[in-house]
Amino acid sequence: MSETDTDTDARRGRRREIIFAVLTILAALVFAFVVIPNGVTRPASVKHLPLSPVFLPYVLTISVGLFALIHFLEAIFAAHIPGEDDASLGTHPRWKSRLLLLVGLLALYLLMPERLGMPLTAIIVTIALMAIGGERRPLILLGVGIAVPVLVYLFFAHIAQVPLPMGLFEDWM
Amino acid sequence: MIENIATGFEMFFTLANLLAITAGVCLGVTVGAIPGLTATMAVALALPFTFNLDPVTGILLLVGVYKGGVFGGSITAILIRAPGTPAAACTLLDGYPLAQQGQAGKALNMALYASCIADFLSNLSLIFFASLIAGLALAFGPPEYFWLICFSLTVVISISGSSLTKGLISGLLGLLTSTIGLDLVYGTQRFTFDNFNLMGGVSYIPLLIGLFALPEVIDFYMRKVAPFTVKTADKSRVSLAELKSSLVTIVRGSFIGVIIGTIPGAGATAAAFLSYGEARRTSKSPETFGKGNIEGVAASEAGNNGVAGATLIPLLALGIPGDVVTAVILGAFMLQGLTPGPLMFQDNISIIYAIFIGIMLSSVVLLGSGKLAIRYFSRIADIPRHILLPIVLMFCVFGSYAVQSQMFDVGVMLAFGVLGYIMMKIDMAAAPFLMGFILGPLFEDNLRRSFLISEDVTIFFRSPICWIFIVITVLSAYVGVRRELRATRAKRSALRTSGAA
Repeated sequence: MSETDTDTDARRGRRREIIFAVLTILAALVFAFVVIPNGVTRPASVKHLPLSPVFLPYVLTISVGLFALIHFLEAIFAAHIPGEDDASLGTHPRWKSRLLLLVGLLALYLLMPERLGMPLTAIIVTIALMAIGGERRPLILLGVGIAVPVLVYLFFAHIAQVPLPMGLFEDWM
Repeated sequence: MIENIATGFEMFFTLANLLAITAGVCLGVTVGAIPGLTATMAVALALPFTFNLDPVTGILLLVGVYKGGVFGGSITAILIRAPGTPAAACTLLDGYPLAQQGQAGKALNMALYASCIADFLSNLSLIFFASLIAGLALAFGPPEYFWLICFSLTVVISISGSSLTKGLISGLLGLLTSTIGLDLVYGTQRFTFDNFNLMGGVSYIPLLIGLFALPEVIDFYMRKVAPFTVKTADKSRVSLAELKSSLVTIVRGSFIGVIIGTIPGAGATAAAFLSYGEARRTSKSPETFGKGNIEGVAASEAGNNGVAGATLIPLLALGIPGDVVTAVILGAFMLQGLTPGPLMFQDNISIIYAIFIGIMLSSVVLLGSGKLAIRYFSRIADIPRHILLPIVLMFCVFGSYAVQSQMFDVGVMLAFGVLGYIMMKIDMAAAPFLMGFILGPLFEDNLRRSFLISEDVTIFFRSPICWIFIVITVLSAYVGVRRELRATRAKRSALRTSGAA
């Protein structure tokens, strides 16, 4: 790696750390002035400050802000130390479309089990993810994609006694 | 006494007891290895089977499940970065990088050896020091607990990864997340925003799975090529020299586990991280921790398995369950018409001896069944990543749902998965977050209970135990911060030197 590349990486790394610190400070401010006042119900009277439900959230939020400030100063004044990710593998050329597909499939896992049932949702997502990962052999796609979710379902439902949602198949079971 | 021990031997050596302990350990290892299914769940599942069993057989079955479950959690933590139990989250810090380097077999075997040695030492402590240690545990009130938790939290410094400030922020965020739910003193809502599912707080199993396992899945699909494929037929094993060099770490971790396990409520996760932090602090090469140091695996497993036998100390000696698992075991004792506590040592001493013998044997059974489990489970690592990871995701979803049988927990797992991925990308360690989250409720609860007992802050300095923990907390924080700052300075000067060259 040339010296220019190293400098560029260092600059990029420093910028990333500054952005992280600034965003964290902003988040701490939002938390202190918006989230805690609206999200924590305070009792009418509190005997001692540490007994208040807001005490710890405020202490923690202020501490987060302070450490973020230290990190900010460190990022500005001290030399950047490249993290492990800086030198690791790059992103996939089609990462945007893959990300969209992944988000869609994760949403499917969240929203469809109560309609389609957990086993069917798992079959659909598993086959789709294997296909996105590059698997093209139909036997593997269908064999693994159907057999594993069914076996795992049987284990959870009948051995671990977890009542998994069956959706469409509720009446069949 | 000799007569009682002889009767205990007679009661123990039956085929049913040997089968119960073997089946229990095997079931525990299998269930513990599945993300989302914990040792607690496995023990609860096995409880109905004990109804018609002899008291000793029933209790040994549950103890076997518990011990197997604690070890089983480390298998998937090492192989696929999906810890089967919260305590195994510490094992993945070095276990998973070892698996990435094609040394999954070595990591798994070290985890097993450390687990068995720690379990054995923990059992010995249970047998010989039960009454002594239980007496010490009774001396712990809220202020003593508070300082113990403060000391445990200093471990965050050791597991901060590449940036101390980011690690501390991660730990604080974990603590902050732990405040979600109903306030324990006033019963008012905190960050629940009227969502009924959040009233009891964020469930730790979905959080754990999301934070550690899901980022690997997301990362796989975002990268240009698969991050790694474990070499097939991984034959790496722990050498005698490696085991010898880790022995001090294992013994130290075991005793940390015993002490933490004796104190009700402190838990295996804290013990694992404390043992890990201590191993890193005393290591000659602390910079290799978190990058695949075999001693890190040994320390973590020794810490969390050291707890297993010790949690039975307050249960058997005082009748106080130290955690949820021992509460279930207490239930099993009661179903059999036995009440653990000092009286049991007088009235049913033969049963106690029979259980002790069975517990000692469980360490040997764990070694055998663990070896078998490693042989079969390590094949998971040979499965191509594009097939394995969709299955891992499925286990994550099923396991998260299984906690409370609600889709909300799947949402929690996915949300923390995204958070974990972001943390991975910005080089922020996730382990401090988990540590803060697990210890947060204990920290706050004991802080506030101390103030409820006395409004005077001097309550925090009321006993020698408080002072001992204050001193070691301050020392641990000072030494940890100094070491991290030195390491950072050394990295910077190395960078400057390489830049100048």
